[in-house]
Amino acid sequence: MNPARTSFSRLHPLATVVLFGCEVVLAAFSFQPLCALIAFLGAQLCTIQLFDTKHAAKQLVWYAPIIILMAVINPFFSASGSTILYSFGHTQLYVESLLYGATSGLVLVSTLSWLECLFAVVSPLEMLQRSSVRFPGLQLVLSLSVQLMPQLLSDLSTARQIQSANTAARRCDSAARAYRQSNVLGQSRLLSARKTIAQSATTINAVSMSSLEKSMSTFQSIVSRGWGMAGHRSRWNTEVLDAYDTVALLVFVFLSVIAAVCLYMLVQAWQFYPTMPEFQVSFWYLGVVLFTILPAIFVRIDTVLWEQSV
Amino acid sequence: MSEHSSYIQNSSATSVSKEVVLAIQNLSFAYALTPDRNVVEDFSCEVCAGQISLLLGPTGSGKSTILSLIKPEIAPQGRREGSIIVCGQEVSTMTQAQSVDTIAFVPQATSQALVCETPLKELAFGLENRGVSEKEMRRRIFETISFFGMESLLHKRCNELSGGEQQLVALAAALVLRPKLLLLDEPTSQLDPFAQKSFTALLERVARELNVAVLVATHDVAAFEHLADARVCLGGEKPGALQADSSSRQALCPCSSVPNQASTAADSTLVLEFSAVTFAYPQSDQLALSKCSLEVTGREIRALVGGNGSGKSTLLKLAAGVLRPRRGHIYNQLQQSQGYIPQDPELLFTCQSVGEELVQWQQSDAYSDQDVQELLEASGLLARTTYQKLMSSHPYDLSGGQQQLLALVKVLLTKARLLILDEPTKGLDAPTKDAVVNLLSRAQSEGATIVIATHDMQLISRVADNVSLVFDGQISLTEPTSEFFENSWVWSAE
Repeated sequence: MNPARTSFSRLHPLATVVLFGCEVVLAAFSFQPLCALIAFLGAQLCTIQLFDTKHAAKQLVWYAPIIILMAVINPFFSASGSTILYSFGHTQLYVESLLYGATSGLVLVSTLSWLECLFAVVSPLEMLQRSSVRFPGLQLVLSLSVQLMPQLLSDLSTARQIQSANTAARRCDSAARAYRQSNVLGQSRLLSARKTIAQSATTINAVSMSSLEKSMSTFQSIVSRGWGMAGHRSRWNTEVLDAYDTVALLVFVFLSVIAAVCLYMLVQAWQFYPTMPEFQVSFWYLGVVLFTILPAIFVRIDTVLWEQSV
Repeated sequence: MSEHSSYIQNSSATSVSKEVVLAIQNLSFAYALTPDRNVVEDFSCEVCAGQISLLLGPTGSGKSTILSLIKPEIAPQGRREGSIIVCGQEVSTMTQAQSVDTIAFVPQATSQALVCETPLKELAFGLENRGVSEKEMRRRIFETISFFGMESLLHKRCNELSGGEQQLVALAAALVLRPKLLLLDEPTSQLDPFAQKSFTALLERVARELNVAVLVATHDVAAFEHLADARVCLGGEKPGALQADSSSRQALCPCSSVPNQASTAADSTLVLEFSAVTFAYPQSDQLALSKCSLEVTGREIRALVGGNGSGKSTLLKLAAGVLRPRRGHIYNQLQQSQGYIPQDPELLFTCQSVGEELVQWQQSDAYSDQDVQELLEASGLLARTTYQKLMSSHPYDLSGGQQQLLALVKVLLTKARLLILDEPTKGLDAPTKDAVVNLLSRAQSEGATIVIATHDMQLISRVADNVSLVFDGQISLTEPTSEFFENSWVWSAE
């Protein structure tokens, strides 16, 4: 496993979800050009750590056009600002609206990147299941759904294989024979289309009937082990929030609060329209930067501590 | 009671306990949809603690129905007469909690019986439902996992486990509730012979060491014969008749194998050839077949044997042309006249009745109604019912073994010249296996070439001309059947 992912797999999922959840939320509210850029760069750094440089580069191939597109399109929807960059007849292209579009693109892309990082360390299904511990029915449905889709796809593939492999049966089938013997092109196509539709319907019918039949075994297995029994239901939980997890969680929460305050101050001090203020060096950026690179810092510290513990 | 004294009690109970856990008296049952036809008639039996009893009977004789009737939560709707007493209590009066604490049930299709993602969660599922405290849960899960030695499976995905591992997990998930009575429906039908042995050995430990009464509905008498304390037969068959099947082990010895009468018809024309075929499934790093070569001649019956996951089914799919080799070449002379039945024949059925199913491919008078009736008789499907009743039944209302036979009949009706069959005798009783042997021999004598992937050594010894051993993605050896058994240490020694 990737060393960064290993670090997060050692951590209690609650701490991981809090860290990346805050990253996602703060990235989504970074409506200030420099903050959006910091969130974007932080997300790329984390992506490189959790996946690899190749994956981050592939992502950029998709993300760069989004940022450019939003930067280019925004001036046409919101032609506001005071600094004219270019004029097309009566339409003016303002630097402010261009930068607003670029910032929106960065916010969108960095939010998506942080979400991808979150799902790399805690799968969406696992998150749903953990969040639904108080709803065992939902947990069971989720678990069954996860198994159902591969099962259905596999059955669909087998049913198709049966249809195509039983060539002797096709020889007996008058419709198929008529198709082969047909010389008229239009008639041949019509028969071919009809045959394809009939075959697909047959396949889907077979898979549906088989799934319903199989669900009987699943039902028997569920109810025979006490599902739906009235009374107290207990819960199997192997996750332990130890001192290390607690410290990490508290640090994440503390730094996320600081980052939120810093971001609030920076976003409040900023405006796109009608004129943008001058960029100024500020200590508020420190809080935002620190929190954005926090996953990378955590992985580094965790790796060192882990190696020292031998 | 302390844990220590409980442990001693369990150990000593092994030798002395004769407590009757299950007592069935004069049980008759008719399904609600067919109230005038009893599927179970005047059935009685007893199963004691620490004993393994086999519930035997022909395909479709009502074995699975009896197991369902014993477990009240899954009992089918219908008219029931007689009594079923478990641990001194009539099952119909049991609460769900009492039933969960007393009776465990493992259904036939274990892949469908696993409802959680990992074996660990599967074990916890029943305990959570029962409201067992976390401390007790930990103890029970630990003990069960240790008992079965399944530590390595705990965090694997259930749908990625092999058939044997899934069966083990299903058994463990049932036993973690510490039942007094364990009901198993065809537990070994999906397993290869080696996995079967491991499973039956574990089952014996469950009965003897944990003092659990075990009732197994099975066709595979041979697998359980050495450990069964009692046999109960359904459908008017005598235990002796079924025990004859258990001697199938001897059929593995070349001296007792019945030669295939139709084998002399085999000719030397090459109809199927694999030349250094390599295949891997998409998104899998492992090669399913690696430079595999195989030659099958016309009118030959070729058996493919090998463990679960050795690549037999993949090889059949490649032969049938539904998969394409990544490398190498496959020549199939009979590709336009072949019939293929996968391991799970259910997906072959697309109609609402057996009758419609059998005439589905009849549209251009390729075969007559008389052909249908004749093949049904030869298959033994009409042994327990009339032609009209069978034709009006839904294919899914047939038992697993009958479905297997119906699939075979449906494909044989097309007069395919190449038959590709994956486990054609899975879940069949001895008389029905005889019927399959006859059908295959008949197809061969009519000119068909047959390739079978199977674990059933009895079938191989009776019909196959040659046996190919599939191992590590290759055909490790091909020998005439008699030579294969003569040279085999494992099979002839069984």
